[in-house]
Amino acid sequence: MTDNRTSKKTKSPKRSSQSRQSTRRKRGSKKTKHYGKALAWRALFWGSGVLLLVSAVFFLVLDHVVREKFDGKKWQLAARVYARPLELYTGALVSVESLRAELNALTYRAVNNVRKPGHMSIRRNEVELFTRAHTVAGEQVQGHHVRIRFSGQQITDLRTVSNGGFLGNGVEEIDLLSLEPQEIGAIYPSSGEDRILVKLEDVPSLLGETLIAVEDRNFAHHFGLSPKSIARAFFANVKAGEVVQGGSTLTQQLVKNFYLSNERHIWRKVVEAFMTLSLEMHYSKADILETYINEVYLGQSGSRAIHGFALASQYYFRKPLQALGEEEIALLVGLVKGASYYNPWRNPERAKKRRNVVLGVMAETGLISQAGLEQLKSEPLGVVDKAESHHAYPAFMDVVKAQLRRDYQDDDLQSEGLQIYTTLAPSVQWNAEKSLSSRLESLESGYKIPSESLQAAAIITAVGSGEILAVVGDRNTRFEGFNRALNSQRPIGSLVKPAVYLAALESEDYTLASLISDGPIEVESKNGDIWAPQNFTRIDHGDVPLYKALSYSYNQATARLGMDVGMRQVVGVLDRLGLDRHVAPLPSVALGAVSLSPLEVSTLYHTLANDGVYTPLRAIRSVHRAGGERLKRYPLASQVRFHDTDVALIDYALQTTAHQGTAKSIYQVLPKNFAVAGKTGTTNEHRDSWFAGYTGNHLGVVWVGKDDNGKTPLTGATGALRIWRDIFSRLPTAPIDNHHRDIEFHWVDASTGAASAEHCRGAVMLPFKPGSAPTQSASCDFIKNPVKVWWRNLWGS
Amino acid sequence: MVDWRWLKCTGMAVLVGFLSACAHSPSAPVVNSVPGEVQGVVEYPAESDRKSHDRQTQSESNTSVQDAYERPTAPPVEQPSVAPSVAPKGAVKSLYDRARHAQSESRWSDAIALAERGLRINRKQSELYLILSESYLAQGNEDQARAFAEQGMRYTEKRSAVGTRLQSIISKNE
Repeated sequence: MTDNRTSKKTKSPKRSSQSRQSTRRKRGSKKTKHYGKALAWRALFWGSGVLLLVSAVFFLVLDHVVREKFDGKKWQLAARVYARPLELYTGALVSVESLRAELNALTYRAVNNVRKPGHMSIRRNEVELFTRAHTVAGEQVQGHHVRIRFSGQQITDLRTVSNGGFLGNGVEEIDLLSLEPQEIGAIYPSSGEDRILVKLEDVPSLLGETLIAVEDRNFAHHFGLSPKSIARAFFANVKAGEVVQGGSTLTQQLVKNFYLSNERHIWRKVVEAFMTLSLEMHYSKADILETYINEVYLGQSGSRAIHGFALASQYYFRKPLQALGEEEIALLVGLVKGASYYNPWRNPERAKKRRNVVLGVMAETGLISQAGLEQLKSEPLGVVDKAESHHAYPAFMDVVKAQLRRDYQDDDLQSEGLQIYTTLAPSVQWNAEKSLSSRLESLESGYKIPSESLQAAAIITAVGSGEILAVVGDRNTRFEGFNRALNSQRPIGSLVKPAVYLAALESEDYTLASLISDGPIEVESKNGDIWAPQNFTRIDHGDVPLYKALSYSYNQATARLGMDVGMRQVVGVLDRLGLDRHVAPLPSVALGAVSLSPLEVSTLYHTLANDGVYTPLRAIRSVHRAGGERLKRYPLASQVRFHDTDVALIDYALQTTAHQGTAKSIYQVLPKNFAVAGKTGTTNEHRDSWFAGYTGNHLGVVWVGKDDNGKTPLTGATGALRIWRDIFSRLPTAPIDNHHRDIEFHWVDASTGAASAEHCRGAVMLPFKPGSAPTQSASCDFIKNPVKVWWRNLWGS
Repeated sequence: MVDWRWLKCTGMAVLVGFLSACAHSPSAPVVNSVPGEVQGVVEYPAESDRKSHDRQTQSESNTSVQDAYERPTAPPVEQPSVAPSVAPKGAVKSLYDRARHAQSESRWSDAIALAERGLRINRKQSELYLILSESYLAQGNEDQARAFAEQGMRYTEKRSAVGTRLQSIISKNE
């Protein structure tokens, strides 16, 4: 019932409700349609809003990223290391050959007519040169057109040239002329990216204009994106079915290189577009171009990536940007398209073709004349020999790095773009390398020593300044491994003897004429061991004057003298000479039972060569910030450690070593009247061959031996001395200045040490400290016939 | 007629004079030219000469030291005179003047750097040691001032103007 009722009750309403519903549905569908449309609009509106908001936020984030990096420190910069700038002046000891080598290394071009910076013309004893303006250690140095005259290995005249080159007259004498220093290495960022920063105003305008002409002609007018270029690239790519052309502007390329990775993806394109707009919005075209010029990738040298035109200019041409010729600029701009693909060393033909395309663009846009185009196209690529392009002096760089690490963190060295000015003299370094390598080969063949089994090290130092001019740490001079000049500590043998004699002379108990027995000697140690040194020749020489015992390197006399003076005094002298390690005062030390590196030996002998004044040896002059501001100097430091008269007496004995003693073969290559001093050193079973010798302004220390400490047939005189001789016979250097204020010369009898006179047989003239000359006279066997003495002097009979 | 007697006498006198001079020629350390002046330098011998020298060295190295000792004991040196004090000139003078100018403007570090450059050219120029000494003194580095004053004293006369000033620095900083 209820159901029926209900059904009855509900029938009619159902109908009406159906009609209502139908009406409503009609209305609803109208409404829904309207509502859906509205919703869609609303969604679109909100969606767009959100998208816009997200885009805005995204843009703001990217904008922040762009600005943060662009305004901040853009790059990590390698520390650059430079050789000493060669200074030219009247009286300078420079040979034409060494100057030529240094100028070649600085890529000066030999020409007939010297017209512009970087040109040179060399004749027999005359060099005409147009030096480049440069900045060294924060100081601006002007370029000069000069003529230099030489006599032997010395500059005798230096003056500016008006015009007409060799035919013209010098107009003004120049006191001092500096060449730009050669870059000898760098300490790179861990990223491997290397670059030299350059400001836009220092970039040759031709380079900037060529870059724009080739890469983005509309650069000055677009807002970062160039729809025309994009459309052109799009059609070209569609037509080719692959990416063959980029439509990127310079700004886009900069964004891609500076901020983004190399991946090709639509999302990256969006980011790139946003960042490009941001860059263009905040920065001037000049800022963007300058950053591009410093950022662009232009080559690879091992793990080192070459970025920026300034570094590329040095890398490919070893020249500053300002010195590049038109065809060189064209090559560098051409490399932007693909530095690896157009690598001028690996693919010279391809590189030349690309360079010539760029030259064509230059001519087309009026940057160069059409007339000069063909001439420029025929020019060779002109890149330097890659083998010599970098990092030529690993042994010297070791000394530099060791000195730097005392004052700087690795991070600073790798990122701050420091400029490090060192003391390396390239021409001296080349001389030492060549002498060492070739002499080792001739020693091996001459003495039937297995090939490549000998090793050697050499250090050349400037006397007085203590500047290290050259370091060779391996016979393979480019080898970046164990550096024997610094790290190989070997017994120094007789090189220690000057310390024994200096201790004796300081004691005031001895003079150079004092006699010392060279007879057999035995010393008993505390544990009962007997030490009985013998002379090299196993011959005893009886009583000999001190100067002779040192110059002929008598072991027995020296051991006796050391014991007489006291080994504590001897070790004390070693300390004052600059030895920076503990040495026990044992008797065997007097004969060289102390192991030192060639660098340590150089320190000791430098004090002798420097008149008894200790100076720490240096490889760095100063360190500057990237902008040139000086951060730190490594100044000359000195301590007067010995009386100059005592050192003058040792110096005399060491000069006698060179004239008559164990090093007399020096005068087979040096003029007889050229004063040098030196000492040979040979250790047991000829395991080490040493020579330390100096002139008035250079000290050279050479070691020869085997890495496994094996025996060799070489003494100090037949091994190390020969290398020293080879180096110093080529080295422009001055003799020792033998003027000494507080030294008296007296005739003494060489066999008794008593006073003698000029015409007495066996008389020699020796230097003495005032008041120390012998007073007791020896009997005189007067030489009546001076002809005989003259004859004997001349022929040594 | 030619007077042969006079000619013979004159010839004999010249010969005796020449031989006497040779007898006193020194063979070892010699006095070289004044610092700062153009000096004699090494001439690199021709390759053929060097080869012959090398052969000689080979044979001489086999000679005993005893043999060498028995060589005539000729006077090895000539009595050198005292080195005259030479005022800076040329490149050194230019650097000296610039260093003095830097000093006058109290640019002590620059003065030191310029004096060092000068000493690289002539390490015995006492005036440059004076600049170093004065500049270090002005910077308060008395030890280094004294050390350079002592070193400079080695290359000048005590009574010279430079010597007196160096001595005064030494005395004040003892």
